[in-house]
Amino acid sequence: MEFQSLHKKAISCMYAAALLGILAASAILTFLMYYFSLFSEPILTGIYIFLIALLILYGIFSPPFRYRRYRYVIDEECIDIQEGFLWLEEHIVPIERLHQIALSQGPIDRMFDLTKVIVTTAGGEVTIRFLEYEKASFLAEALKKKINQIALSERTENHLSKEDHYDN
Amino acid sequence: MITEKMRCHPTIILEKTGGFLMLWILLALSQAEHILAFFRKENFQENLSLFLPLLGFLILLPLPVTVYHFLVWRKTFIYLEERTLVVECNTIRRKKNTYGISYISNINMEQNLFELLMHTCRLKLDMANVSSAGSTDISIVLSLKKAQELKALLLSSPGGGQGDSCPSDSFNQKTDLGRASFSDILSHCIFSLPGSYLIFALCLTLLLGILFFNGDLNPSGLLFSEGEHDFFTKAFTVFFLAASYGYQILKRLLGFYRFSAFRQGDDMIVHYGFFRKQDYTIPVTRIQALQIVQPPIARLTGRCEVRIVCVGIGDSDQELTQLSLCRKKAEVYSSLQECLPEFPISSLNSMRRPPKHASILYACSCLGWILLCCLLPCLLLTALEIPEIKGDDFLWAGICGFTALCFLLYHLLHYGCLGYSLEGPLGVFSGGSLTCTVTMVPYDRIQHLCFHQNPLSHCFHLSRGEVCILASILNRTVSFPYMTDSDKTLLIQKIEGTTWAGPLHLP
Repeated sequence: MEFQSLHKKAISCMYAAALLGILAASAILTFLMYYFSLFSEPILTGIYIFLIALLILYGIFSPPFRYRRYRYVIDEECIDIQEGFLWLEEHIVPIERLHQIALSQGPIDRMFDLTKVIVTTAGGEVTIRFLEYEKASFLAEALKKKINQIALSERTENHLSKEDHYDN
Repeated sequence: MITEKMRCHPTIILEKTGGFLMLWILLALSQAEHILAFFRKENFQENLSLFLPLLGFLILLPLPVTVYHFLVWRKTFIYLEERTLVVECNTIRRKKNTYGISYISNINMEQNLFELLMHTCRLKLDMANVSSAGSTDISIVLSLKKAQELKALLLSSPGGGQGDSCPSDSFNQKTDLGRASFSDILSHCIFSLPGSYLIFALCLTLLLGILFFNGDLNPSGLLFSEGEHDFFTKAFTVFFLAASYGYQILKRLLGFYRFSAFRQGDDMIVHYGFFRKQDYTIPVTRIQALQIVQPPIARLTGRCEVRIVCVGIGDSDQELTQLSLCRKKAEVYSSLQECLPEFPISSLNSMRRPPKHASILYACSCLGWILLCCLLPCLLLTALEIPEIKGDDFLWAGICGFTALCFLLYHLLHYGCLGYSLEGPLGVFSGGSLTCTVTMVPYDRIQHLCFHQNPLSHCFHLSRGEVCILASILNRTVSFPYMTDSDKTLLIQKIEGTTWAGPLHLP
């Protein structure tokens, strides 16, 4: 199966999240500079301006990169999610190891009608982000069916192998 | 089928109220002088009407606590129902917890001093469950005989402690992994001293040495006068150092007292402890990974120890994860091979170093850390010209240089420990810095994978990351070093081609 990209709405959601992050970080930085009266130091003020500029640049450039790099695929064997801006991450979850599937929507996600699908294995959680609600529900349902199929076939195999064992 | 409902041993009431009673007794003893003085007072009779209710209240204070624990004991039942273990509690909060026997990850029989005296035992059961991997699921106090019977019953139940596999015939006899003598335990305690402890001891000795030669050391200024300074302070310091080392070694010695690990059927059994006796039964199918650990002194002397990664072991400081004490590598490998053939030692022979470009990446990472943590603060401090540190440029440069050296040393040691092997039935991943840890994870125990790439490693087509397994939070991820894209694909294929041995929870 081919890797799937996100819906266009995802980039707006990424921009909104980045904007909120920048505002929060700038507020904390400004408060610290003001509280410790560091604006009087020209070098520290320079560093402050540099950091704010860096944050703004991150806010402008990271969402399109993250949007373009975010890809996922769900096939018969596993879920593969690739994401990141400068530092890339790839999560691979074998379908057979899935324990739990959950859908989650934060306030920003709700604004853009997007949803996270959280898949849980015995080793932790992996999240597929920025999915449209219908698509996420469909994926969750499909994954649930796959897990049920695997569980059923495993139970049948176990039952047969135990019967063989006792017959012997 | 439901077995007879049983309660915990009544001594659990004493154990639970013990802390409160001890506190109460200590308080009473500390005030004994005042109480006696009160009785000896001339106007004692006059104050008696006020004193008696107060005394009554104080004496009766432990009673409600004891009654509460008595009620909890009386209304808590444990029984087996079909293939489940049920713990039912009908106190203020009504609870009925049902645990699938086939999900039991390990059974631990623990005895502290009080339980040893009372001839009782704490039976701890851990389930192969991610949400409670860091804590014990069931902890019940039973008489020793009842605890042994329940343990036997759990192990003999269909699927109990055996995962889904059938018992292997080749291990009907006991196969020893290590039955430690006193000298074995002593050598383990010395050779397995962790790197952090050694660094701390080295720093402390260096610091004391400098202060000794400068002659201004007086850690016991309150105890000794100036005249006694030379002899007593030195004697005190040496005694303090020796005692702290001695205490650590004694603590470890007693912790590993009568350590033994062996395999019986499809279970690994581990015993140890002096003041707190521990007895683990771990189904082999529930072992998530094995760690071959080489602390610094062991590395220098060609020794290693084996630790187990499994849900339920290592939840607290008293729960040791050792499967074999620190011994010569060849001895450890041969006994491990004999005892746990599911974890073939041959996998270690095919260990590979990270690809050649990985060294550039680690060098860049080292340089980055040095720039960020040493050079930038140094430049910043110089530029700011803070009056408090002005004139101490040499000292600050020295601190930055030393920190940079530490970073360099750490990265060199870390790079020296790295390696991996994907051939065979196990994934083998090596890491560490002062202590080298090789983790052997069967592919069917790997839950999911995570790969990381920074801009530079992306150019070289290398990725590093971690495999996630079912274990307590500290052991949940096993990191692997940079590997090529072809090895990455091989690792993914290996995991996709296996079926997890554990139970599957439906959503």
